[in-house]
Amino acid sequence: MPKSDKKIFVGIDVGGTFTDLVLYDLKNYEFCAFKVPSMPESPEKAVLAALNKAKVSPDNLYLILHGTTVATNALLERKGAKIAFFTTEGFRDVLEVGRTTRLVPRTLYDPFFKRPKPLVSREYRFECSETISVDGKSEKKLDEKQLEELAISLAKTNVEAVAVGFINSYKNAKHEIQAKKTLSKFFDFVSISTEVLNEIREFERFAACSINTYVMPIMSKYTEALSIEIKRVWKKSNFYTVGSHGGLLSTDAVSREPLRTILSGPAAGVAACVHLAREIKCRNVIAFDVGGTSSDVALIANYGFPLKNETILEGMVIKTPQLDIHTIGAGGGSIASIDAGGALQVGPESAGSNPGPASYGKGGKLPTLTDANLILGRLGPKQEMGNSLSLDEIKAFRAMKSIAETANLSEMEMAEGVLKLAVAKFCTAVHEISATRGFDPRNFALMSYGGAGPLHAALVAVELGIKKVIVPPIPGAFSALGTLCSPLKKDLAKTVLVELTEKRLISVKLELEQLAKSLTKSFENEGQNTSKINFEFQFDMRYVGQAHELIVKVGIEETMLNIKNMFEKAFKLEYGRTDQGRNLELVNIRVVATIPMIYPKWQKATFEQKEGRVKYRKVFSDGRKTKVPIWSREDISPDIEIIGPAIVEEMSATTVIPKDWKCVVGKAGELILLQI
Amino acid sequence: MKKIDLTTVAIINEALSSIVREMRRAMVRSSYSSIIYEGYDFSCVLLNGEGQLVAESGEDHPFHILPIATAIETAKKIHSNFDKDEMLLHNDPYTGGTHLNDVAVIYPVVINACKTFYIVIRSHWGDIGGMSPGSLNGNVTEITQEGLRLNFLKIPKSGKSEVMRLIFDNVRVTKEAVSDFFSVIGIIRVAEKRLKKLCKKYTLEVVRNSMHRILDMSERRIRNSIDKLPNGIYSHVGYLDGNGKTKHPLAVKAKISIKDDSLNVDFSGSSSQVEAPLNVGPAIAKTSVLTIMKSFLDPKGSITSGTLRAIEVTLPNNSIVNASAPAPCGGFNEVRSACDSAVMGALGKVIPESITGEVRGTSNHTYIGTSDFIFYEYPSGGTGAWHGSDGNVAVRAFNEGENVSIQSTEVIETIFPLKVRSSGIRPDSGGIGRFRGGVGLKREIEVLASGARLSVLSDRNIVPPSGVAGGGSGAPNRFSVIRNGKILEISDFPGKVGNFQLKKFDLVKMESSGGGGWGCPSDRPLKALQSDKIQGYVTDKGAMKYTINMETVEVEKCDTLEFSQGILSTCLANKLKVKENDLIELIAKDGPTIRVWISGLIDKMTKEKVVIASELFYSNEMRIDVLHRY
Repeated sequence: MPKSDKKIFVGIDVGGTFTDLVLYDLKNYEFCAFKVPSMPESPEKAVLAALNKAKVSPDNLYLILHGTTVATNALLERKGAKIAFFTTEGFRDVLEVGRTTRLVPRTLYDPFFKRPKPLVSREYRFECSETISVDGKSEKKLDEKQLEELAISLAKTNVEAVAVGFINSYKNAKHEIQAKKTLSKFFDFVSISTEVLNEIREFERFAACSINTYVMPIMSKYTEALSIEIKRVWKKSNFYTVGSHGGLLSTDAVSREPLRTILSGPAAGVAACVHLAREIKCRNVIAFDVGGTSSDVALIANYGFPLKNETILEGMVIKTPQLDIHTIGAGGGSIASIDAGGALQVGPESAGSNPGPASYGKGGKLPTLTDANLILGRLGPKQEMGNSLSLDEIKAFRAMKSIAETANLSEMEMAEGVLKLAVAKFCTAVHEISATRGFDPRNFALMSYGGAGPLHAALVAVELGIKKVIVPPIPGAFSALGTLCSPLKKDLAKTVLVELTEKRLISVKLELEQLAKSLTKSFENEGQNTSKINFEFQFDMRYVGQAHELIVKVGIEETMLNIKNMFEKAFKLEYGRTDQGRNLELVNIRVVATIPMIYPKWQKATFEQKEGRVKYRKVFSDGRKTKVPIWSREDISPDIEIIGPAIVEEMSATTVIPKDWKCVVGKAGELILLQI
Repeated sequence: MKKIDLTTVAIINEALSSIVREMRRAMVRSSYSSIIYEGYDFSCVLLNGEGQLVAESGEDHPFHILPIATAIETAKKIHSNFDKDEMLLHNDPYTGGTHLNDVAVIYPVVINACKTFYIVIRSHWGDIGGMSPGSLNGNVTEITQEGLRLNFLKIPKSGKSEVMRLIFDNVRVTKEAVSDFFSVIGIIRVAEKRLKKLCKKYTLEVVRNSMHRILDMSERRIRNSIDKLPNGIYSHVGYLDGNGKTKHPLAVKAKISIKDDSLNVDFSGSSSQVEAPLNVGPAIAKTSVLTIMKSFLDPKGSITSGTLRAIEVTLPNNSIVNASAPAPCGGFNEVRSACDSAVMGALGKVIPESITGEVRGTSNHTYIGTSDFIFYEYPSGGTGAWHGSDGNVAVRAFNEGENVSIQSTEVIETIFPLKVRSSGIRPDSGGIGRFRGGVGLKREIEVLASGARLSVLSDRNIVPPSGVAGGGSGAPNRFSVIRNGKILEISDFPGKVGNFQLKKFDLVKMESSGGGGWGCPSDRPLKALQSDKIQGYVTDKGAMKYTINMETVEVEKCDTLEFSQGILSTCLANKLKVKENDLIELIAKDGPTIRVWISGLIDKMTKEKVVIASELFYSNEMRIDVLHRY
């Protein structure tokens, strides 16, 4: 790219198979996307390769934003650091025992269920002499000498990082802070529970702290390597990483709290949905992201980020602020099979990216959803998938034959069955995040992205009575684009655990202000300009006697009555009823601070248009082959209305427009599919 | 019959389970009782028009859903017909219920004047009447003390009737009960709408035929698994401690006959029913058989009436596995666990390499409270080991739902006058073996209030979870109180504690059982044992058990002995320092473990020898261990 006064922002999403890069020219409102294979062994190399491939002049590149699964993979594959954990006497096993639940779905009836290993084996969990009482008093001082002796002997082992979690520390973090000071003399990586999750419930807090510590060295090395290289080549640019809450984290924040990136995978996509929804003024959308092994769905009502604060992940609980995204085990690579009883199954087993669907020609022999789409003509044979491989129809047919014979069907009929069952599963997922939570999906538009989202979206919409499907620009790299739509974000919480009264509300307000101040300071320490800082205040509340809380967004000057009303409204939506007459309990208070960035303006974006020729292909549907026009997305100008059945192809995805549907291009370059 | 294609069946199956999952979520959303919205003590299922179970969520307690499969058939014996505007209420253990607190609402969905589905929601009522709050009580001797029996009562679908008024007038926490009952009806109505929509979309005929196909497919699937087992007859016994008023031990005997792809389990020979809440009605043993078979043979398959077709169960009348009025059934989970033990043990003779050691076999209900507060937990135990892996540290086992069994220390200390002194693993509690059973829990809770009482309803405090294929038993469950450093006698019979008076600063110690081990302990690799010691799962003393060669004895069979009895040669008794009534176990290196209570000693036998009942006999050379001395 020639040297000019361009300002370029870059968004990168490091996925399991591909690393996507989206480039946005701030001045000309131009987007373009690149794709390189991911390198699981050294993920930073893929990021740099993508940046190099994009060939952005260092003089123009101002911002590099990225989503990463480095910490997630380290955790799931148990490839994190060797760590030690220090805790209160009597509680060495909290991390291992938890609440005695399996914390892995679909394990009921499995006598050979093997509990995922704790991140710190028992021999590296140590008890310290100290007591903080339930009211926050230091009943027994921390024995720092004992701790130091332990640290000295541990420093001689291969332990890289250490974590500290004391009982009742959320009431008074003094001992944890003391311990950190002592341990920092011997270790580069020290994490204390109250700095990671300052909330009541020791298992959740200790788990958060140990996960954080476990991924700290690997994440630190990764971001360091990356930021050094970025600073070296692209001197002008700033570098941020997407967090689980859908906001951006500084390199410093990522090094201290890498835990915050673990659930960030699908977060950027949802952030992009919210941003696009605002821009095209579509206030209710359902995000529908179909990937290779799984699919993510999320409900965005009234432009609001769907929030939750707990995820169960392979035997652990992650209880930090995060987006409420529902994942199901069905995606393009989901394997179709017929079980011993003769029943058709699709997923949750997946061919993944290696060997991948049979049609990838990388050795996969089992039929997948992608193969079914190819056989039906919904995906084109020889179609390039992300410029790196093309689909082999013969291999797809051969794989499908293996189950079609068992079912006594033709490969076409079998493929259609596989497709229909997968669609039924997608529908169930959407139904579960909408209808079962009090939202009618028919009042939402389906925003579909990911490699296989637009391929299935309209079929899902038809089944659920949804009348509008939106396919954003560059759907296959939408998550990378999403990083460009996120603000800088930090949050800080505190457990108060009191019955909510007018009087108590006054002191809570002071505490909120205190938290807000700390957040501002923390941003300033990172060198950020805080003049545009925004605060959101959240209360985790419940009825007295309940065990689970709901998150309620409140104003700083909210009245007691307003808070009660807001809580009961949220409760009613979630549980379909209220318990009028019961008192409210305030468990945690939380402040979320955001600093807005310069976001892309899609409305003004120009997408290069070419005059191409519409091709035709036979597509099999409902027992019949029909000749269907195949459009290239770049050929669709705003004055064109495509009547289904039709197919729109682009580099990263394929959109299928069924019969009785039409497709137009919206102002932000999005495809809008509407039921006629 | 129109042939329904494979895909349609799969899609209808997906739709039906989605409807069940939605009901499940709605139950949590709309329930007023914490046992529902936090303890998940309920289940939802769909039956077809013939009353056959066609869909469940995959997340429900097995013992909740399986008994429903026979409900309609039994109901029809009482009501030759019921009106389309009527539904049924049921909780009676003797006609297929679990315990009285679990009340099922059975709601027929009528389409074209034909009962096409039954929607069933079974949920735990906080109280169903009876002699004490909560209705469950370890001291009852007859069922009327446990509350109201509802034996397929006809109720209008609106839920409004004189019968309901009678019921609500006779349960405690009425307000919650009424609200929850009407939310259940609301949830059922939503499911009914979805079912009707489904039938409209696919036609009644297609849906009905698809349901038959679903049943056939799951039947084929389980039969396929059973067919892989060798034909034969295999017997084993599972035990319960009982209580001070019953015989000790109580026994459940299972004789499994495998013939090609069918399975029959005969429970004849199980203990006669008792005047204690340790009985079950006819539905539970079959539930146990299916749970164990499905778990070990086909854990991923679904559960339908089709699955049940491959399994036949024979139950002796008036026994603890098929009790009749007025035997109380509150502790059905304890009896179910004994059934699980018996069936697992019998399977252990067929496929010892694929069976795990046992888990704790009881609910471990523990209450500490005054009139101001009730602290309630039911600590899980370590799970059994299997060929290839040690058992898990205390966790919900494969035959239990995912409910949280212990609370957060910080929450306990905030809301109760209690201080948790420690909460961790119980070293040495895992059964020894080439693969070690998972260790149980040890929790020490200090009481900071005066006037508190402790109640415990637990079992398997004497008879521990057994190992398999040569593995040893886990440590049994144990509950104690420590006052001024001394261990107190808290009950006449272990595990059954009624209102023990606690003093301020007393320490309540809850210890849950470890899981049974798998394989011969001396085969445990030294590295694994060393790691156990370093980790602290096994102490130095505990590790000695792996090296001490257990006595190998000759086992002889005798037709006249009862299966819980064993006769020892005096020389062996002297060597083991055991006397009559003591509990010993005989460990087979490739099969289940046999437990016997010494019923006599014989001087004449000069060899170290044990005589046991012929039916239980497995091998004439077994290792021997002492489990309990009285």
